[in-house]
Amino acid sequence: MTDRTDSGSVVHGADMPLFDIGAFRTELEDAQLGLRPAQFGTSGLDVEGMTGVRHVLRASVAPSKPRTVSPWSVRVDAKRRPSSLADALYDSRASFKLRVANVAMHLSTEWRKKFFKQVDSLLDEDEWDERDLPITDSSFVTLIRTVLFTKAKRRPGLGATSNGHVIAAWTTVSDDRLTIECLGDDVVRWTVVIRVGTADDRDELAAGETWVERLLEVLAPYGPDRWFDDEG
Amino acid sequence: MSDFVQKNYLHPPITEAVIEFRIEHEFKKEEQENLARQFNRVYPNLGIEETADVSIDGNELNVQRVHGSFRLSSSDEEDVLVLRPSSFSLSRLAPYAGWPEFMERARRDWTIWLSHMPRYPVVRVGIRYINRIDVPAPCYGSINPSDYLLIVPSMPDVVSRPMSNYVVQVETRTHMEHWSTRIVSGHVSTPPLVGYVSLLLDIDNFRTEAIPQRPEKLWETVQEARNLKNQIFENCITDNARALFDQ
Repeated sequence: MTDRTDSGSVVHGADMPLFDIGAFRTELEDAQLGLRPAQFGTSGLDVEGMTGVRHVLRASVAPSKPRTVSPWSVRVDAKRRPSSLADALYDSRASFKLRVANVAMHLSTEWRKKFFKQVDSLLDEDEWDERDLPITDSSFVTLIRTVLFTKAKRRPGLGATSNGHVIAAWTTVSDDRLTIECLGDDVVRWTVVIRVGTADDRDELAAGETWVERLLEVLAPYGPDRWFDDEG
Repeated sequence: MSDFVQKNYLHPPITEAVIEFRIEHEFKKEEQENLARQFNRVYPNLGIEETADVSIDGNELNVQRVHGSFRLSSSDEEDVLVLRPSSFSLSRLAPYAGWPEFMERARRDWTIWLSHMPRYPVVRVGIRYINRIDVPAPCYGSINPSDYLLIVPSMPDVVSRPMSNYVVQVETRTHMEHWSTRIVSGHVSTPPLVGYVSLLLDIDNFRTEAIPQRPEKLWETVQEARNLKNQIFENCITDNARALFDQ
């Protein structure tokens, strides 16, 4: 912005007070502005961009209770709406990497780089079924929070659902499986299949839906260390 | 300012480091585009960020497109260069790989800028470090920010519970000639880690006067700002915070 007074940041800046780029920025800066998200709705607006690509502007306004200062104006930064599958997958990969960067100090370099490779491979245009939705940012956030909360030393295998959720899966050498579908807002759907040590080796299946903070408690009866602990 | 010892932490809490030069000219979009193509050789990802002014006056909604910026980034999205009409802004996201590496990239990119753009005076130099201190808080317990930061609001003893949210912003000239600083301390409303409370410490050092224009002198100026940032950072945190960065 031409009247910016801070040194420009790509994830955090007073020049972009209302629009989400970083996980922590928006609400904090709402607070700086004296705004409370709960008081403001969000309206979407399509604008033809300077380069001919479509852009989506999202401006926060108070539809039912106008602010006391009127008229008002706000400057917003437009984000490109993906025009092709390749663009959408690119955006999804980039979004994931930015989210990981936000917590990179809690991950080892090797772990992070291998994780990036997995995601690059998962979101490879040549492998992607174009009928499937690219993985959403909120699903990736839930995945990253899950991995950090469980302190998983072993990286999960990754997959995706057709509706834009990432799936993390861990399997032990004895074929005990944990699968976690990461929805938005910290919600996870988990499935456990473990071989019960009897003579006829039967599989026991359990499944449920919870949120990240409860995950280890919910999985406790199944000994989650078997999936998270070793670096195999 | 109290004495300070330069420290290198195992896990520095830096979420973004920025070097920004602002110039006394506004480049046209076509000029920026040409420059962005040059940078695209060293940054594989190139995006355009458009900006619009949105205003509502009564029932009338007005949208006016304004000149945006070009955003270039590395394949891992950790190194970012933003070319705005009047500024060159270089960012390094976490994990922070250290000042020598960041400076080397800044020098390389500024050399590319100078070799492709007409020279205009640099009118503002800014060095900004955004830190997030993640504090374990099992069972979503509260923390006392002053256990970790020394720039926090003071409250009269009218409530018995710790603050659940705060933001403090201070802007002042520094002991170092020509340099000002803007420091923001606050709670991060949505901590990225489950079971943690996160605190923000955003230090933006800048000068708008007596800016040397020759590249070597300009980099000496940038180095000054970095030293100043380190002093301010160390003076704003407690040993409890330091312990977290080395865990």
